[in-house]
Amino acid sequence: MNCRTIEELLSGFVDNELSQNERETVEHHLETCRNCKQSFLELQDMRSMFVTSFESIVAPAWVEENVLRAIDVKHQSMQARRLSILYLVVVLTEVGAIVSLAILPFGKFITAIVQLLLASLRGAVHLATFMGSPWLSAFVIFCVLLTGSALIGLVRLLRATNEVLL
Amino acid sequence: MKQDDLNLIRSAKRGQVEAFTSLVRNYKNFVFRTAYGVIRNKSDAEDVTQEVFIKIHQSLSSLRDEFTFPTWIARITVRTAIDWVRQIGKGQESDLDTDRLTTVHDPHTSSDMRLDLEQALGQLSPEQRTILILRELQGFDYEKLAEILDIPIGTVRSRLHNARSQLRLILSNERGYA
Repeated sequence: MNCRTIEELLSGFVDNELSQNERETVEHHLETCRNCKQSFLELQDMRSMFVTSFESIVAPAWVEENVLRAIDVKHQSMQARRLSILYLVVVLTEVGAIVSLAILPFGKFITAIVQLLLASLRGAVHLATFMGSPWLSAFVIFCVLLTGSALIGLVRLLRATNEVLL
Repeated sequence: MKQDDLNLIRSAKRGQVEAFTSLVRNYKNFVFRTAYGVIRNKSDAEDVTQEVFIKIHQSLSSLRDEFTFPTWIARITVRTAIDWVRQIGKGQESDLDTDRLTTVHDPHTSSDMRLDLEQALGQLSPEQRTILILRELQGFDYEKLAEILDIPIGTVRSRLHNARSQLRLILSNERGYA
């Protein structure tokens, strides 16, 4: 095998990446060829040159701190972006709901219910004004609510007592 | 890869900040040296190192096999560094520290050897520098190199051969290396 072919194999030879046959061929050639032997030694020197040259190159001590800070900043901006997307979705949903209420038949039914409730409320206010005393109306409503809650409480108490007796 | 690193990777994948910090500490020189070898500028290599670890943090959960971590981190580093070179200095000469350039030149000291090597590496393409750094400095075998660089093993073989031949030629012209 000539020197040119061996030269092409030398890189793989130095890296121990040749087949058994190729390796034996190169070894045999290096025993007899001074030029190729010199090239082989230079390739070996080159590796130690890399190691020696780069061993003094070390990363700064603050890398960990900076990386964590950068990750934190990125995380915060991502959270802010997610939040703004959430707000946008909520606003769009609300707009969609309002449009649906105005257009769809079910929306019209809901609107009618709300209007009925508002009309009832307005009627109650008019009734209280007609009676002449809004404060008295408020007191009556309060008494009704109090009586209602007292009745509910009494019913629950009686039911609990029955359960204990049984 | 050490068992400790495997445990750290698993814990970092679960979101433990301390484990991720330890991973950064263990691999920062690996990333920084690789980036520096490709870019040849300390300040830029620091920025790339930071960017690489942010990318790793973002995509660590997608790493299925923890044993492939060194190959994975090397691939991210190399891609980020080469993108950086292409973005920042297309055709631009890297700014080597001038104080080192003005010192008395003695080929036997390690700092001058480093200067010679850096200057010679500067005349190679980023792809040639990358494969030399990964092989000569980080010691990846051809199969791993093919995986990291996403090229066939035959291309790894020829690219390494060409890069070494060119580097030898440049060094021998610079200082009578041969």
